[in-house]
This record gives sequence, C-alpha cells and structure tokens, in this order.
Amino acid sequence: MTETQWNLASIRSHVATHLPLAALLGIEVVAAEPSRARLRLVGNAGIGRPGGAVAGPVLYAMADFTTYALTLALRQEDTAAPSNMLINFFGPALELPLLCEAVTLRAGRRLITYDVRIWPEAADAGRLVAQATATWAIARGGVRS
Amino acid sequence: MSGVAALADAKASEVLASFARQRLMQTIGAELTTHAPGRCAITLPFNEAVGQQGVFHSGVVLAVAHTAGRYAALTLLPLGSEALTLQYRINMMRPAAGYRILAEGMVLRPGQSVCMTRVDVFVEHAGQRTLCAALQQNILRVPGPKEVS
Repeated sequence: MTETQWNLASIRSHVATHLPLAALLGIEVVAAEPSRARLRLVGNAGIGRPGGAVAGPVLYAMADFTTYALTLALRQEDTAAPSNMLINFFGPALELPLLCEAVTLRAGRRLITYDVRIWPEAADAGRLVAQATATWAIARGGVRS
Repeated sequence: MSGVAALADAKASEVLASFARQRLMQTIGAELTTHAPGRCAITLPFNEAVGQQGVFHSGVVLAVAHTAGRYAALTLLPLGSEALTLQYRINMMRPAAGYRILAEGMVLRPGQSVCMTRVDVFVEHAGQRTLCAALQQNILRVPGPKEVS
C-alpha cells in the first residue's frame, strides 16, 4: 500500500519510471480518472507485424496499461494485478496513433471488471480494431476502506 | 517436447523465417526454442525493459504466450498460409518473478479455418519451473498467395 495520490500526473510519472515497456512500445497515458482511463499508442519501429499492422500483443499491452491506470485512479492502490483478459480482434490495426479507453463494468471489493475498446485516433470510436474484457484482482489487505 | 515428430524441412524453414520477421519478439529478446507439428515453445530471459518492479510485465507474458500459440498453429497450416488471431483469453495465475519465462504452445483443435490453441507459461526461478499464466486462443487460417498445398 502506498500513500501516493494517483492522478494523471502521478500515473504518468509512475509509468515513465517503473514501466519501461510503455516507452518501448510508444504508449502514453492521456487520461486517468476514477471513471475512465485513456491511452494513446504512437508506436515505434518494434511493434509491427510483417504487413504493417500493429501486433496483437501490443494491443493487449495497451488494454493492460489502460486498465492499470484506471485501477490506480479508481482504487488509489498499486497492489492490484491482472487476473484475466478476453480480447477480440476485429481487424488489422494499420493506422497510428491508436486510442484505448477503459471503463468500469463492475467494481467489487476484490475484483474489478473493465470494458476496453481500441480504435484508430483518425477514425470514429465506433470503428474498433479490438475489444477486451479485463478483470483485475486487488491483493488481500490492499483495499482502503 | 521430446518424442514429438519433426517438422518437414520446408515448413520448419518457413516457421523460423516468419519468427525472424517478428519485430516485437526481436525487440523484447524472445527466442523460438522448439517447433514440432502442433507445438511451439518460446523463451524470454528477464531484462529491465520487459520488467515491472522486478517481475515480467503481463503484456510481455501475453506477447510470448500469444506468439507460441500462433506458431504452434502455423506448424500445421499449409505452406504459405498466414495465422491471424481472432481472440484469446489469458489467465494470470501468479506474478512472473524469475530469470526467464517459457511459453509452451500446442494446438487443441486444428480446424479447417479456425484453429484452437492452448499455451502454458512457466517462470523459472531458483532452478524451479512454475506455471504463471495460461492462454487459450482462436487462430484464423488465411490462405497465402504463395500457398502450395
């Protein structure tokens, strides 16, 4: 348990300091509130598949980072861990930047389930390249009452 | 994966050449260590770029697992085919804290158009291998322009 106040600025700082994968993939946090979080993928040379599409695991990483940021903002806790994720791919992600937004479906005491959607920034939010349902588990004793 | 039949030379070459083009795997330093009909294993040693406070980041665990499943499927597809992921579900069972992760992928059902795979991810620490994540995946077979069988 930490005493850090988790807001957009502190989450961005935390990601920059402790999550080098974000910089490796070209991910930045653009919004983190208790109700929603949004990430932007600008990408880099190491994230593509042959053919030019962003690799599926990179989309997963976006969903993972987004739900992590939302968990921090929602619970003010850094003891949570992802427990499962189901992700559907609707088409190749050929355009960058990509946006990823997560909203809470249900926030239980120990488990939080999120809906996550990913789409190209240049397109309408209805044109999804992927959608995920993610569940995060709060570590025992890690919930502030 | 000993005792498993070897891939035909042409398929083995195709699988290895395809893996070598996966820039994400190169970027994180993953290595394809086993390929046999319906099976594939990939390892990744720990380094700071793929870690989160000393533990493999779950996005990296997923990347390696996903790729092991996808290449397990590719081993059974006709030469020239592509394997595209439709969907996967991953369960993270414990933190991947160790010096290396190993993803072992196998094909559960080699369908005509959709192939189902399962991948177990182990983390190695202090000489022990511990299951840390499990993935189940649906792969779409896309006939390639160069498909020859």
